[in-house]
Amino acid sequence: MAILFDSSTLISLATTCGLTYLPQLQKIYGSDFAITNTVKAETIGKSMETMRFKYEGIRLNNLIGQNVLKLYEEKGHAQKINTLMNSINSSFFAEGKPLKIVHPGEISVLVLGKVANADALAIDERTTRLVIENPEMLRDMLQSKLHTNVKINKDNMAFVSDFCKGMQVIRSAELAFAAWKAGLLGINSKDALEGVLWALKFAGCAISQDEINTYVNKFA
Amino acid sequence: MELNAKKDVLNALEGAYAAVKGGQIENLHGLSDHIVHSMSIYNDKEITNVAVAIYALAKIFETEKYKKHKKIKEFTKAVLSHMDDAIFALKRNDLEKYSNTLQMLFRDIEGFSKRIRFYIEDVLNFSKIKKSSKLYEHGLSLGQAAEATGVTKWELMPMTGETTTHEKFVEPIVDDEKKINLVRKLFKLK
Repeated sequence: MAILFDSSTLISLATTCGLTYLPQLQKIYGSDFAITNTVKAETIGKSMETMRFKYEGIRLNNLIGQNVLKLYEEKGHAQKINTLMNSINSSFFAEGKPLKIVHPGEISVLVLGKVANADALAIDERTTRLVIENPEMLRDMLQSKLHTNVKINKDNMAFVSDFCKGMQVIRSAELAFAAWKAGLLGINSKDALEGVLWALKFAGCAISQDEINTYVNKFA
Repeated sequence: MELNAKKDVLNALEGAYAAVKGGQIENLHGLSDHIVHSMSIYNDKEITNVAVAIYALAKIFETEKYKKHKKIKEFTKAVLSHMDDAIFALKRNDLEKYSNTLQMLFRDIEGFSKRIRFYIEDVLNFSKIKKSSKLYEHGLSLGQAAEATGVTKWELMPMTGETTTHEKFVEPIVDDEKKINLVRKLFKLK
């Protein structure tokens, strides 16, 4: 059992002081918080190339050193990653062309998540989450944005949906909610929860204003 | 380059040429946004480069104080020449020449923005992030959108967060209540 992290969630957390409560959350969870090699390269590797994000990268690397984040090796799963990625990238067609919508890093999270029988995948970016949760909505979005008819290849989509069956996605927003609920933010007011959720939204987490309001007013 | 994409790129380049020559700079943003559609469908670096270049030109030409810069005429002349060459090359299907011309346009933009100490440190990189953000808005994943222009997810995420992208098409099929119950279960919360 594990929670597999995509780089989008790690980046949202890293840029909003969320790495401070991650070790305690992992302790409460009791199993692995894990990342793949590609996610490591996209987060720690890339951040080290620029002074702007170097500190965040060092802090993430430190979490690996402390075993808060475990590295799940992609070795031996490359074929599965390619097959799933090619299937997703051949599921939606516009103007007769397959839309290449996903990237190996995101797909490595799905594949290693499946292999590890993960409890959840932590994914902040919208497209991969919609592939898992609501491909029809993804098609509607593509149609609306591209102003053209988008067709779904049913065979490829069926393979993808079958692969993703049972996968549960959470975002940095839900992790922050858990941290707040567990008293790990240090401030227990609803304002603090609202503040951290908005910070995550501005950091790039795919959460709407309505969802934030629901979290603060209904669930807190 | 695909025929439909080529049409879009030619339209954008010809429109941008006319806009720069006629001083209708306000048209550049629209032209750059218009080819995001082709960028999303055809996933071609050459299309992406045009969108980035036109956006960067818009940022430079719309900045009031640079309109009177002593080098602006020289820069404009070079830009128009490169765009003209790119249009000519594309019409003749000479993709190598087209690609080289765009690289020269990039170099001129980079050189001029350094000379004028543009308020955005690197106007070209800023333009790449902006265009990546548009690709993400159009449905490409964060990784795919970042790779299309060569920026990092670190740079891209805050830009997407500042837009209204996540106000639509984000509600999951798994409703918020179920998500919260999952979180409660995972982290043993009451």
